Amino acid sequence: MIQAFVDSGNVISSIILAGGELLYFLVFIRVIRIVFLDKYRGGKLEDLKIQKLKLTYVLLAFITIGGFLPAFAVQPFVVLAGFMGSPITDLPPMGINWPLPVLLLTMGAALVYFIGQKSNKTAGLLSALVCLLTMPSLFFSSAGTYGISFAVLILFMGTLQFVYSVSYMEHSHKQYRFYTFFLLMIAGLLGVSLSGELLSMFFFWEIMSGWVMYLALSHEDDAFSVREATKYFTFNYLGAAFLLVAVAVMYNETGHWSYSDMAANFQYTQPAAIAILLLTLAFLMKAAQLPFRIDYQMHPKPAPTPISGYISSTVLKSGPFMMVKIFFLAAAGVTATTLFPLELIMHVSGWIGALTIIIAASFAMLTNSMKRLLIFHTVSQLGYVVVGCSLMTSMGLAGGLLHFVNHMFFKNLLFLCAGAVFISTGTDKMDKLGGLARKMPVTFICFMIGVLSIAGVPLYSGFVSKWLIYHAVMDSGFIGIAILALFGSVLTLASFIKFMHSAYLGQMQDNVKDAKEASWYMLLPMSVLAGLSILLGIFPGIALTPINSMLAEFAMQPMDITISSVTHGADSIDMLFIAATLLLGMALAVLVYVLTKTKTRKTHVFVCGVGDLTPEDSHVSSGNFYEDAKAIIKGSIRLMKKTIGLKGDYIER
Amino acid sequence: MITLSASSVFAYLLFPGGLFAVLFGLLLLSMGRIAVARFQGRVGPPIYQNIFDIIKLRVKEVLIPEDVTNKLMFCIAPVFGFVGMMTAIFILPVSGVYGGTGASSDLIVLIYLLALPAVSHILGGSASGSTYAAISVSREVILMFAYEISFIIVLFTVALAAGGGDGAQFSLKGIVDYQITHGSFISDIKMIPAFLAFVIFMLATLEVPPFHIAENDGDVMKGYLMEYSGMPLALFEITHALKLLVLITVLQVFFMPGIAGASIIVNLLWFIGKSAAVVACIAFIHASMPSFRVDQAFKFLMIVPILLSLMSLGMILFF
Amino acid sequence: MFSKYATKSPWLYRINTGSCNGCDVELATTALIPRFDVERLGCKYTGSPKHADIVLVTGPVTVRSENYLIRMLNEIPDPRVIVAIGICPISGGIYRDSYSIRGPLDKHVEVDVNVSGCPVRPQSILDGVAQAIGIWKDKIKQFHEA
Repeated sequence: MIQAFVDSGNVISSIILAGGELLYFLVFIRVIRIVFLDKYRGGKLEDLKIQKLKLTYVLLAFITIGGFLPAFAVQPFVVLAGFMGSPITDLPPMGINWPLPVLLLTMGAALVYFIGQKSNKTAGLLSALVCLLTMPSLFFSSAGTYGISFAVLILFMGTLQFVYSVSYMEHSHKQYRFYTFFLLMIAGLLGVSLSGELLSMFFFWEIMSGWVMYLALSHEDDAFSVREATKYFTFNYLGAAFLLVAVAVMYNETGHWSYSDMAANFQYTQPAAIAILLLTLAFLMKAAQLPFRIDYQMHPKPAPTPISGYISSTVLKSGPFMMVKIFFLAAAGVTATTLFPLELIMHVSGWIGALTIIIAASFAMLTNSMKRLLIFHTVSQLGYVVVGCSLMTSMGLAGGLLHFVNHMFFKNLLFLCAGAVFISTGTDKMDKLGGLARKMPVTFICFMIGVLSIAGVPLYSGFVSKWLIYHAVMDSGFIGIAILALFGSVLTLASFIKFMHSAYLGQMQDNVKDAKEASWYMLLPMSVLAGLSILLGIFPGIALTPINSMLAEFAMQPMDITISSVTHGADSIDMLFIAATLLLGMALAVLVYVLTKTKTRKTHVFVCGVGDLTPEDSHVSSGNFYEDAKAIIKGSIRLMKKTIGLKGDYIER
Repeated sequence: MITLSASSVFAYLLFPGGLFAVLFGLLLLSMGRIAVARFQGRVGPPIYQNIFDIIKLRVKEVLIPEDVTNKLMFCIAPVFGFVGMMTAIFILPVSGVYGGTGASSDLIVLIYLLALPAVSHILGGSASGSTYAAISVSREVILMFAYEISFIIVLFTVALAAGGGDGAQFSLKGIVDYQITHGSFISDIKMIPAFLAFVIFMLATLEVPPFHIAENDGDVMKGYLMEYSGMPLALFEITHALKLLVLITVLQVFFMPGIAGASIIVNLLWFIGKSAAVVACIAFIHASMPSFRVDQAFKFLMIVPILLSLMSLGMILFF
Repeated sequence: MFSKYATKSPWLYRINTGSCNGCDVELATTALIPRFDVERLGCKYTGSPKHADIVLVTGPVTVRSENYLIRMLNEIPDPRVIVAIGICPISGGIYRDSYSIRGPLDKHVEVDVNVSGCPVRPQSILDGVAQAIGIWKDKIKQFHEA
């Protein structure tokens, strides 16, 4: 990792040297040192935890797994310790600003660590309480609507997640450790959203996607989860390396850390363009765009489901979140003639988003694992957010940000439903399930709301945001992106139908016979999220009003909205109107049902009179869906692999 | 905001949505059956046959399979498609007769509403727990996967063409108005491939031969409708009739919204005449074609309509 | 009031209980050949027994098909009419008293119309269906009064 830092650092600094600016180079070196120092600080925070966990975790993992992977992961830490030997005395004026909510959360994490050792329930509920109680402190923050809104959502989702975890983590081990790291990760994310300057942002970014996340993800401690977590950790460090270099260059160019000063002093020179490019790259990497190796790019499958859901729905949003911020920062000082014009960067990231939608959704058609399907769809939906945000028109941004919020709710909902199924049946493979809807009706209804939302069916959230995105894309004239994005939602629906049929519907399989409905701790967050998905579907104005003030913050034309409708030029959509017509139709249909009082009788499913079929024989499992479509997708994967010199097919990792 | 005026309630419940649409759609279905019979040299059913079918289903007993996985989903699935089509017919303009709803009447809404009948088939078939239904659901989704691409491309082509050079025109009313002043797209050589692609899309959505695959009596019995009987089945039939009418109206909005005169009555008759002509054409294809296998249909739909629609899109963009 | 119009739309469903296929060929031709178009009566063949109104049973009810037949008849919604097509379901025909026959059909279910013949003539099938529609009308009334 350090190698990566230095290598990429050299590339940039050589470019800068070629520019003949020695001063830049000196400052740059200094900045790297500062950041290393900061990493040491951050490291020290985690160091305390790690020392306490030495016996329970690190050494255990060391011994049991042969020490290879943890050693690999610990390495940067060791190297950092070497740097500690030469402390820097002249601290520059730019330290880390700890926003109050972040401090509160960190203290809460410590509290959970000590008190939560009693029982799982205490730890979980305490963590939820910490998240909830931190929320009022956001009012004292000065981060602007954009940051604060994200922070509110972060804490809200965190609360739900902890309530859910109380039941989910019941049969796990050392829950307090999980809760502590989870809280610290949320603190990091909160820092990213609230920090008013690039350096603090980077510092919190490291907390969020560094060690804390690694430890929380590999909570299960088996070889598989540690390996997968390490992969993701590595990838995150690569992204962070880009970020570090870019942050340093940005400081060089402007001489300030805070966004506002930076924007004021920003000159769109070539190094700055490279910095913007690197920043975009890092944020796109965080959002796992172009998912060719999903096991590196996305959070691992074997992690506990609450944290998977949280990372998918909330943490990964930090990528698009920061991308928007940086674009606006850069847009302040744009001049036309540069190496990488800003428009080009934005256009390319739009295309990356559109391709991601298709690629990720196609992979999701192939997979057989519930969680991996959801992970693929996270990437795919983030593609929509990236497409919307990279347009930089007010409509595109509004669509992107609305999808940003909608996706948080419905994707987390889907993850929680998958987690409930996992807890109740003990399997992640869709092939082994079937007919769960009868055993878990509430979970099934929540899941259906999630599916209809993610597919963008009117009345559910996801529709208005996609509507906005398509309109914005067509306004900007990117027909290719629009076609890909629209086609993506067909693929999304198709792969979720596979999930729905093979897991919840169809014939009931033997191994789900004694499945039970999820506990109340699980159902409560699920129903809250399902309710929010419907609410935002009918009244998108609830989310669009804050988004409008964000648009104003970015000096853009606000959207013309009411609580339920959006108007853009000649095009307008009124969800309450559509909802009213749909509900009227529904009332008519129900009336028809009620008026025809015919007898009802129970019979068998028709199988031509055959009575001795086992449920396995008569259930169409996920592997048997869509052979022809799968053949095309597999063919293109093979072709793609061939062009880069690899052999083989899609591999389920 | 919501405008709950008497005229919109009338438009939704009686004309051109609601009652009129249901009856007219059912008549169109019967007309299709008669036309097929005549092409085969038979007499065919009476013109009001499909209306009687609905009345018949009302008096029948409703059977619910014991193995049905979720009874609520099983009963509510037909409603999805029904409400989707009722709303679609409500927002669609009929040129010279009815202006659509103005607000919320645009192409993106239309795409999602048109997908709702398929969604209801999928939910209902899947919830019934029948193996035949599951196979038919898989087939339906595969076809949907293939035909939606060409539909999306046709849709953007029409939107761009109706934009008349500057941007895209998403409003359905706007598309109709543009063609009334500039001539119908059917007479534009650039739009002919898109028209053909749309016709193929229509055949595939309506599941008439050569795309009679998902609910083929011959191999999957009745597919997703397998376990339905009585009133829920009637709701599916009504949805099918509405879907036929919606697709014909969309075809007229996209390609031939020409009007015959100033009077509403004349225009309505002209609309009915055009619809009947389209149904006759569909019936001709129905009577003269065998059915594809699902893999053949998938290949065909992935190649022919997509190329046709891309051809139109290219011509619109670059000439 | 509804029963009057409902009888204009009888949907047919065929069950073969080990027939020699002669009657089935006749059933197919009645629907398809222009001369005897059964769709004129509003009939259409359905794929699923759950949509059926008039059930046309052919074959002498063999041992193998007995259970299947009973199970399937149970899956046909009321009010329904059962028509025995050909001599086999009526009396067993040439298979009468065979060791592998569990017929005739009226041992298992109440048969409403018998259409005799080996194989049956299309005209008599049409006549049988027309009679079945008359019986069906009464059954609809009874079903709704009960």
